[in-house]
Amino acid sequence: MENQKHHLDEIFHQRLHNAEVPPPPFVWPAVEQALQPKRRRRPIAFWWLTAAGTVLLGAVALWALNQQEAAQLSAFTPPVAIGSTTEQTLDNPAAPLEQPTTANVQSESFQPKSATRPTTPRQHNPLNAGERPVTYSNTNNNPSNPSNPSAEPVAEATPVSTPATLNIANLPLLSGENSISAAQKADMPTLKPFKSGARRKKVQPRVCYDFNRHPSALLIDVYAGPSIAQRSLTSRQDDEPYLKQRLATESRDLAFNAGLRASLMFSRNFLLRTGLHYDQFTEVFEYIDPTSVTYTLKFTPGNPIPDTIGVQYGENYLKTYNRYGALDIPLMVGVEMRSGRSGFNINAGISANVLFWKRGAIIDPQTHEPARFGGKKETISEEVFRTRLSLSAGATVQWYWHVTPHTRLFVEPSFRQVLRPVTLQSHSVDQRYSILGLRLGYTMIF
Amino acid sequence: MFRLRWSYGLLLLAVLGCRKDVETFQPYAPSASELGSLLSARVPSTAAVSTFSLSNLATDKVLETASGVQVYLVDTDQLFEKEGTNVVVPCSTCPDLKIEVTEVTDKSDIVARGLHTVGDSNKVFETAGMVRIKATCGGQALELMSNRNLKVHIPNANTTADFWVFEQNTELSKPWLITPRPVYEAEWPAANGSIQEGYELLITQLGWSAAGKFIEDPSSSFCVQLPTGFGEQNTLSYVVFKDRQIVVPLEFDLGKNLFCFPKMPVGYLVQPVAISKLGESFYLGKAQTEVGTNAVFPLNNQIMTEEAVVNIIKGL
Repeated sequence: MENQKHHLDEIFHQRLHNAEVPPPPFVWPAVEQALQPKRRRRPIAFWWLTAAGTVLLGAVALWALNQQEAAQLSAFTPPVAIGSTTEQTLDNPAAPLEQPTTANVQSESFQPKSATRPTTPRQHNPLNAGERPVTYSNTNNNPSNPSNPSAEPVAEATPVSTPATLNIANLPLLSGENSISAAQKADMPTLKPFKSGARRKKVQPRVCYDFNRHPSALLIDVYAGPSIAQRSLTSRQDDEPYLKQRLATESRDLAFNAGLRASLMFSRNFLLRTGLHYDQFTEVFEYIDPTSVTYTLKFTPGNPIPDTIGVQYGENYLKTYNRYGALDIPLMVGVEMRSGRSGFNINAGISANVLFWKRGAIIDPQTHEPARFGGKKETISEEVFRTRLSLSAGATVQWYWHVTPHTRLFVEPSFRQVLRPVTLQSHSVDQRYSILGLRLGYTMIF
Repeated sequence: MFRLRWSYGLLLLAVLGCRKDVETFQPYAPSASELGSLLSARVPSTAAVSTFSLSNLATDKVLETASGVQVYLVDTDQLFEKEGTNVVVPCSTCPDLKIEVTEVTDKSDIVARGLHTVGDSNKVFETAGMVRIKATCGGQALELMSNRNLKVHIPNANTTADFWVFEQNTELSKPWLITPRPVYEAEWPAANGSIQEGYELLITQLGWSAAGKFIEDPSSSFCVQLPTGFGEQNTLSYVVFKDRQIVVPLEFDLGKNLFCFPKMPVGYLVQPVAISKLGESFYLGKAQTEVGTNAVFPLNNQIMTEEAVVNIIKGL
């Protein structure tokens, strides 16, 4: 009797050595919670309101995605064949358990119909002696499938069986204990987490970076593109005539942006970005002076005062390209979502200006005549522009496309609002900018 | 291909980023004379010019314009000679004698015709009326024979004394010359039978004549400052006296960039006026001030239509 009992235990031990037991539903929340890495809390002071809103939006979107996947999981049909095999094994210990298994779960449908569990004991496993046996292989992750070595997710497929076919409560080794710990104590195979990537229906192309395997990555972006700098001029000191002159003589022209950005991706979906961003926007200043005069002077030796020998009255046309350049260090946070080779991320944050250069001509606030600012030919009677721009708030939405697992091309519409006027407070007109940009870029993932 | 497109984009940005500033100067043709022609053509009333055609005039004749100006032609066979010669042209032998009488009785006409009321030595006079008489025979210009004169009546309901006859050569910019002949206050029967009051002038030469009286008050320099770009090539500037028939032209001082007159009677209410044409645009500046000592009056002019300029000058 004692031998029989030991024999039965040994049989259980051998048969369940590589078995994977589906956990009861109540353990999933705890498992998922345990698998979720704890988010580091950042000081709220670093979060701009816009950034927070955008990140919140992204988080909600991510949550919604997970909910959808959870719904798919609940609708998942358990592989009956696996359970029946197990039951057969328990009921009939004499059955040939070492039969070669060809358990290929059809990942396309996630409803394996005739999969047989590889219940070969460890000591009888010729391929993985001394290692944890690989139980199931998803077609996307099948090492024997060389056609798709770089496929995303599906790092480790998970055997699934139904509790209805395996009466765990009746197993003395597992009864009264947490399923996972009990299985571990019994030297049972480790229960693998049910990762969402494993349940994806689409075959992942090989060109995507495996963010499941490497949830943290460093991304380097290089980008450039056109912009539209929307300027607003408002009169602060009720100097309407001057404001009208400014409005009448200046018009928007081309603008562009470029940048180099480093992004830290963490927790697979979250981004922390910084770098150098350059915005240059151009405005056209046109002024026609219908009352211009040119004098022809003649200097004679010994006479310091020249003689005016000719006067011409005419129209003077002046057209300058007023150029404003701003180099900023942005600090942004973002959320990224992926689907196949492409995906998008939403980013928001602030940027601090480190350089603001300007050159051109405007109507002088004192003389109401054209005057140049910036550069060596400065003739303006008073300082008009700040030396640096103020903080800016901005947001971008990036759509990317994987070229290779480590490179992407992206298109990124952006919006930036310079929070304070670029003009000094002493100037009678407030000159503000908001910049719409389109960034076309290249990302390298490390 | 991809790199090629990027290079195109970068090239485009470089080209756009290096666009050079543009500054060009387009000189205007001088427009002052054009302005004078415009004003003389548009401002005066057409009724101010009366032309009388006479054929073989053998008797004395009184020519009367619509406004009542009368020109007396007496002893007409010994009245005119060919201009520049001493060849007498008897009116009785001239089948096509034309006498043109142009009268100027207000300040707008003085300005429009390019006249003024400045005598010799820049002395300003007040006028009671100006008249121009031109005579031709068969298109040939005539002049008065020496020692002959024409009697001219200029109607005026409020005559005053101390006016003298002033005469002007063909060059309007030259100062008027005062003659030793006084202007008489007179009454004469008008064409409609009523008695007309006015001034009687005896003129000894054809062309412009005026009844004038010097302003003897102290004078001082008076200047008008216009914005840069307005000079003698494109601007006509005057000082028009308020309630008096006095129009003083201002001369441009290039060194000071001012329009000035050296002997402006002090203490009078005046209207500085500047008419300009730059390119195709007309400018007019008009204000009112009292003449002070060495005064420089800044005058802002505004762009306006030709019609507006004409109307404002008519209203002086």
